[in-house]
Amino acid sequence: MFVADRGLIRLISLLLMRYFFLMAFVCYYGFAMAQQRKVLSGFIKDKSSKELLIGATIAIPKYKTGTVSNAYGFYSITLPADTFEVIISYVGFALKAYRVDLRTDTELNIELDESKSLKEVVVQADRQKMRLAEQTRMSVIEIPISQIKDIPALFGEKDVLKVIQLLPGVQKPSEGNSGIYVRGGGPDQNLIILDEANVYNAFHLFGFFSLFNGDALKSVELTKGGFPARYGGRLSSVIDMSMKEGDKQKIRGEAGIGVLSSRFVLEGPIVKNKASFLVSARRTYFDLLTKPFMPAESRGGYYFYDLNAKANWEINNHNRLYVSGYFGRDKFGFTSEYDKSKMEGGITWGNATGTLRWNHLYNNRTFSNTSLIFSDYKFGIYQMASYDGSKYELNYQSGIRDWSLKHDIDFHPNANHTIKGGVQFIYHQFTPSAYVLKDQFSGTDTTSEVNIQSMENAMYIEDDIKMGLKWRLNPGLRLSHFSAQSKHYINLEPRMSISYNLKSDLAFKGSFSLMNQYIHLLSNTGIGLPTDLWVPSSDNLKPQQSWQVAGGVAKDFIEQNFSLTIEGYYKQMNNTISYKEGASFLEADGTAESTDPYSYEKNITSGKGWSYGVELMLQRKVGKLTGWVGYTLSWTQCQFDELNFGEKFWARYDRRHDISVVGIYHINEPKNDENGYTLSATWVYGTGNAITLPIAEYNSPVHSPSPMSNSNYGSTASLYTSRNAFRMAPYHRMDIGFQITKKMKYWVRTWELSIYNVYNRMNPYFYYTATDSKGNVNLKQITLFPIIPSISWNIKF
Amino acid sequence: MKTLIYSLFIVVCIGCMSCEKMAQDVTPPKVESQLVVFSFLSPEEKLVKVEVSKSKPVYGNAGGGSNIVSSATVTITNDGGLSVEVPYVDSLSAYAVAQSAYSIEPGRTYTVNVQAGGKTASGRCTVPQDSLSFSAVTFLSISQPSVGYDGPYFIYNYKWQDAAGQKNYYRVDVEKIYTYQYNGDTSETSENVCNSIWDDENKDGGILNGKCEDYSWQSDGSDVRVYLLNTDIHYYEYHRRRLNYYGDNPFSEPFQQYNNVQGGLGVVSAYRITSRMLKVN
Repeated sequence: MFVADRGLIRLISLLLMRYFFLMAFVCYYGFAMAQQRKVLSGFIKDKSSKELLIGATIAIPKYKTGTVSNAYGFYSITLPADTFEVIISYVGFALKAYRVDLRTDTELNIELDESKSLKEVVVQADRQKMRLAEQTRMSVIEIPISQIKDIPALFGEKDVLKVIQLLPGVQKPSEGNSGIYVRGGGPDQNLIILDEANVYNAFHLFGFFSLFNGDALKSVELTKGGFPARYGGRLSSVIDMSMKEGDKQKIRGEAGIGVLSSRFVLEGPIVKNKASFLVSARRTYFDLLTKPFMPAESRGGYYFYDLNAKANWEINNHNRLYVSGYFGRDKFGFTSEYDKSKMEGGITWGNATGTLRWNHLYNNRTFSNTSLIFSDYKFGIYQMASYDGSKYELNYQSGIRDWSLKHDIDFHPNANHTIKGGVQFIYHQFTPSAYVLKDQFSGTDTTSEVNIQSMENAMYIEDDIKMGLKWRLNPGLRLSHFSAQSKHYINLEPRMSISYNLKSDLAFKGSFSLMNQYIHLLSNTGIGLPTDLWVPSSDNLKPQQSWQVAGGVAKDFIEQNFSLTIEGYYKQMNNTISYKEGASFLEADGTAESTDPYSYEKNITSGKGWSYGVELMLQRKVGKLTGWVGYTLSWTQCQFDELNFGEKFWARYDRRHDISVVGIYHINEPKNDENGYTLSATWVYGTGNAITLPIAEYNSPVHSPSPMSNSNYGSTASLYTSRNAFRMAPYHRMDIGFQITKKMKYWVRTWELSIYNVYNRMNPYFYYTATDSKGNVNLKQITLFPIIPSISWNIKF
Repeated sequence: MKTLIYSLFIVVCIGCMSCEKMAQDVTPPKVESQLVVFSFLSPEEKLVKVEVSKSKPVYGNAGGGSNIVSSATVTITNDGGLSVEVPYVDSLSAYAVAQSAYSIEPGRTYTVNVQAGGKTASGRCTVPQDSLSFSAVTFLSISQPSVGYDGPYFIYNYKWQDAAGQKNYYRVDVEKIYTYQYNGDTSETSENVCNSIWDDENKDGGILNGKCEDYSWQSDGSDVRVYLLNTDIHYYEYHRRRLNYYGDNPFSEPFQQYNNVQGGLGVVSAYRITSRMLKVN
């Protein structure tokens, strides 16, 4: 099957290469002939904070054309030398119109107003922006940060990834967990990017919370298919998040106190209108709350914290610098002390990322961004014991560290083409295990560190093309390379998105994408444990590869402020990895005994996966009532030669039906300086996870070849259903939230009351067997979260 | 060390207001008890042995007591039509007959048939033709301490030549034999130090070699016996899984055991065996 696909992929790649060579010629020729066309370009900002706006729409009705601002707020469009009206719109902001006399190349920097006095204009702008039928790409969902803040959450802790779980095509692993499974893909197949830096373990507290603090975020976008060529390195999704830049006009802040954690954000100008900063922090206080209840001689505790910081400097209109970073740690520790003995230990894990970016305008058609990116994930165990002066000390670590250099160019040759191209070099350093062991009892003093280095490189080109008023195309080609051990993997990845507008509010869309993934996550069930280990492709472990086709329809109901998308997809994944039967993830990283850097390979096996389904989303982004209804009907199967006796089986998170309903109702809209009330509710339903259950026990001896042994040894073994043949009970739950916002003397205060699992559904987290007093063995379940009310207090100034 | 993580995870899961109760909205899978048959046949063994038991469904009340079935009718038939009914031997808790009464011959196919309680189960295997021997077995004494172990240890190296032109499966076991005094008598006991399962993939007709690291105490002066088993595919597939099975563990993937018994569970398989003795000092 896949051999035939390769032929097709080569053909598509060849056609795309020819196209891009032809485009290079056309662009060159076009410049020579472009005397009668001029360039309109500039940056689009929030008027009050001077924050650059991503994805603002620039429309030129006279020529029935337009463009959108890029990830740095820049736009450029080449038009006939003429006088015409330009309309600029962005969700939540007032629409703005200009009359432009484009006799020469013109720079038009635009500031949009969030003013309440322009409500009607805001609605018009929102309607303009929300038109999905006018976008080339499909399978992309942008989530307004304001909605993330309004949706009720477990313990009141707002969580970007948990909101993403509510979208069609995205499944969550289990109760309360932030992990995500997109269109049948595994948890390692999501490219999670924060200000261009890869985040390797996006979870706190075993996946119950994600590490993204919504207060510091400016935009969140999920891509499930039809991937543009600029993205690569993962099979199933891209979650692209940008941090806010910081207000360039005045000091602002937000703070909140919740049941489990507190947080604050502070932003403001460094040099007014030129440079600004943003810092945010969050910390939990389980440890502080539980400390008084623990005996002095034996104490334990857990906490996590996050720090985000960003600064930017607008050197001049052609150059901008950004520096941003994230640092977060989870720590569980314990100490005990009795007489002459003392013991302490714990585990820590966390991410650190840093990004230095330089935006440069080569000219009014060409925008570039150069990024130097650092990303580090570390997991560590430490233990120290002393008795009567003798000491035992163990420090164990595993992790991954990346250094990455990236250069991207946006080129706008004319109104019908937006060409993006770039290169990326990533130096990965994997540490499957490193330890220091000092034991004065036995005289041991050992240090060992196992490192694996590899390079992952890519170059890409893509073009967003308008062909008349009906057709839009986004062809792209990515060339990726990975060096591992003695092998170099080189792959061409063709991408294509097509959109045909039957009417201005109705479009049919299709896409194809081929993805390669060179690094893999060893994780048993994807529940986000810190022991999950990233490992590279190697001579034996091939890169994962997937191809996906999708087709669908997007319809905008402009007057009603609704948009409807229906998409079908088929995805095949090759060389996906899984633990072998019986392999224990607790030992998979080899720990101290292993000196072979690739020792984990003996525990894993590779196979194939298939996922297909239909997704429906009815979304309302503007108005008093916003939210969405999502429904997914999907099937996901796997086949591994070494699992389930080679037979196909359902993936653990295969979910036949998945429904989510999200509603946010602003009783009166609590804009910045107003009193207001917001009511919100979510309801989710999902088919139960597919799991393997033991069904019988039987004597299962190991043969003993020794003549000294009269019998075989070993005891009983379990007989299971075939792999993942048992369905857990369906999952469903309703959460509600109520926000009361009031303008106070110095700040705007919001009380939020929320109830998680309102009707106290006992959703199973896992099953186990237990014997009752009569000798009956029963299947029992553990439920993690029954009904949980919470309250939080937030201020904004 | 990772027990720490295990403990923390359990504390977090169970401690987070968890509730346990009977599983709702699902019906546990219901299965009937099945006959379980295990037989490892070899021309080199004194006895032809078949172990018969019955499986216990997990859910419901399967009752206590032994699973062993002692009242079955067990017959073994070879591909020449020669058959024997195998009697139950209490002392072995198994059905057994001496090779002198019914011999297992290289290259022959044997069918084990079991009838009990109205149920029938049967399994078939073919005895490997060749009995292979080690071409070399050596040992090294290492005095340098290793991680987590501060005493000297031994490494046993062994190698043998694969039989070319056919798919072969092997098992290698290393057994340490101790002598001890009890009530003035000298007795022997043994301990299995290593076992491993092999096939000849990509090494057809070549030399296969392996090693066993022995950290057990009291190694000096012990006898070590190294076994080489040339097995059929059923023996290999069953033991490949079984030797890595340490019971149910919520943190490892469920593990299906290999089964070649029709109408029941278990394995009927065959092997040839040779061994080499070493004196460790």
